[in-house]
Amino acid sequence: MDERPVDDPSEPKVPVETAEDLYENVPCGYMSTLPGGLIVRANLTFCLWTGYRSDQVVGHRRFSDLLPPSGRIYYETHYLPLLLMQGSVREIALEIICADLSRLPVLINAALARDAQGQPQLIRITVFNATARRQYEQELLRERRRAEQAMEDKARFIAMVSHEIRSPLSAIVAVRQMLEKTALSPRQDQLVGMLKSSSESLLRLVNNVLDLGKFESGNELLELHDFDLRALVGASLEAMRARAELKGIALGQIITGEVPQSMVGDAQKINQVLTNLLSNALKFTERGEVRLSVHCEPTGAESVAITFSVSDTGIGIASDRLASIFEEYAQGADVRSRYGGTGLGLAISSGLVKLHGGELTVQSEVGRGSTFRFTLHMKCRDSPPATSVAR
Amino acid sequence: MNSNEIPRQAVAWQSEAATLRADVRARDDSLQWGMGVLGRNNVKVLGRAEAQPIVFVHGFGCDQNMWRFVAPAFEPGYRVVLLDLVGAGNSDLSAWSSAKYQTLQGHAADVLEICRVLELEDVIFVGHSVSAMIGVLAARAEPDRFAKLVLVGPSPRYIDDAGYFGGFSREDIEELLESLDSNYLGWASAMAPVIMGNPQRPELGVELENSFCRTDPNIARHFARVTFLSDNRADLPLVRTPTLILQCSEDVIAPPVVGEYVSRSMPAARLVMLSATGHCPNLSAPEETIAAMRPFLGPNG
Repeated sequence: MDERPVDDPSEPKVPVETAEDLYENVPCGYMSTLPGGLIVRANLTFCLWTGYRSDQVVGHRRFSDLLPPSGRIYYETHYLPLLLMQGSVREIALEIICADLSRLPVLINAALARDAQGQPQLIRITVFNATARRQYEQELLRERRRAEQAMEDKARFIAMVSHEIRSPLSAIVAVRQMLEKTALSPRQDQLVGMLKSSSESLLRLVNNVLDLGKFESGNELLELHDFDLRALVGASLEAMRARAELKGIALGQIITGEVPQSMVGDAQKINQVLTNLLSNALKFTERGEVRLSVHCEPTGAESVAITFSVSDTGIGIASDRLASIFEEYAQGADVRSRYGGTGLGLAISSGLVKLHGGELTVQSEVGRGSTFRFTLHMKCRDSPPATSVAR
Repeated sequence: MNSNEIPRQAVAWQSEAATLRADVRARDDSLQWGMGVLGRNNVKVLGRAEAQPIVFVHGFGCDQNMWRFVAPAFEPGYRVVLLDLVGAGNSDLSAWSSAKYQTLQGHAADVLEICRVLELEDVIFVGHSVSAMIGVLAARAEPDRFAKLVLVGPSPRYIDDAGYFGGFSREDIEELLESLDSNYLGWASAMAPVIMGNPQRPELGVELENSFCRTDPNIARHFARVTFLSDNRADLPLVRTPTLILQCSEDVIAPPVVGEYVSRSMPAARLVMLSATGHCPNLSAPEETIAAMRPFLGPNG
């Protein structure tokens, strides 16, 4: 803080500082090299940091001589090509081997000075001491790796447990089916009915968890076939018809645009997405309508963009939840207790759409309803589907 | 880009390609396939359309921009083909898969595919650094396709071995992979503004807008591993294509002794020692590089 009285008539006393002083003592390392890398000048700060005497490096060492082998590779494959092409580089992370053989983490900025003919003449290098930063970076990387590893381990564990649950569960389902076929008293019939709904919902959950595991491990693949879009849409709606009638909700479909005879995609997975979206829409709608709209837009002679949207007049989703609904297990606790489900459906649907190269998005207003939408780009043909399936 | 997305997209692309190949309407599809291949590797075709083709392939850490001071010299006499290896420059990152590019063969297959799509015959292949070995693998697979190879700073193996000096130890390479992490941490935030454009230095604008040597960090790390752990010594004696080796006098990545090894191991190779130093004579000494290539390439140049 300036302590001088404001009315002090004397000029502020600036210590005399030559450009040379500044160059030598500025708190970063300065160095100049010839285009081939030979160091022709190095400032005092650089020498203090690295422990070299100026005459040990100037005229004797190339800049890359001060780097460990790994750093030389980076220098030759990234730093130098970039410098020669764009005239400067910024924030290259390297380590300099000091006089006592310890290593100084540095960040390098460099600029190429050219002569009047445009020929490279000098490389001016600024060296920043990055010791603290490098420690922080390495900690960050270590933590990231640890987190990634933990996620993987957890996913593998969940997949394994789910797999283990599925075998006895399948046995329970099979035994229940056999039991159904025997003579049962009304009370026993009621109990078997409870067994049926519980075991089926548990099986659905386990299958969903396993599906999700496949996405995470990258093992989920598309199986491409020719398919008929109208038939697919019809089948998805038909599967929901009974539930819609039970709740007294209208179930509608609109198909617009030029629908090709046949297109190539994984119809089973698209069906899974539509079924899931329709099922959600029915679950969260008490009155009104659930509608599946499909719009086809040709994008080339043999390609088409198909936009699917599923809209409902249900409870809607609060804006602060919209961002996270496609994450696994994202369903709110209040929603789960009231409507059931695991919150895996949207994560799986979103993954399936992504596998097709699309993105599942949502628009929603609380109390008015939601619309889920995705667009898929597909190959199509106007001839009927081939009898043999192209794989 | 989310690292997990690449393999999935690549898988989707592969299954799409498989469907395409299976399709009965082969002609239309081969056109689409061709466009796909050229887009995938961001292939640029310049120079004289009917002339002998010369294909330039960049090394690790860079993209086709690194030929910018050399390739134009050959445009008057040759059909010049430039490309980005998948994962580098403006290549289609979604075409990358760790399985396909687990060895340099994946890139060699891409080069051959590009040659087929462009119907290149009598090809002169110019490969820098790791792409020198990609050229060796391509010429080994389809010897009749290639007339000549120019290998700039080649090394068939970077790690020392019994009776062989590569210049690096395995620990050096592991350390490089670690240091890549540090650099790529900063890459997105710190490098991108410089590479993408620099509003404070408009005089650099044209250069910088080209965004040199962009790379996806995960792919680059993978490519570094594949490159520096590769061993293609056994392939060298099997390539009989006339070959020119351009060796820099002080190259830490591919030292002269390695260039001499390559020259000794290939039946039809000769080595020219450049006075240029470093690993990138195509950038640091383009005139000398061009002058060394011309007599080898013959009258067209």
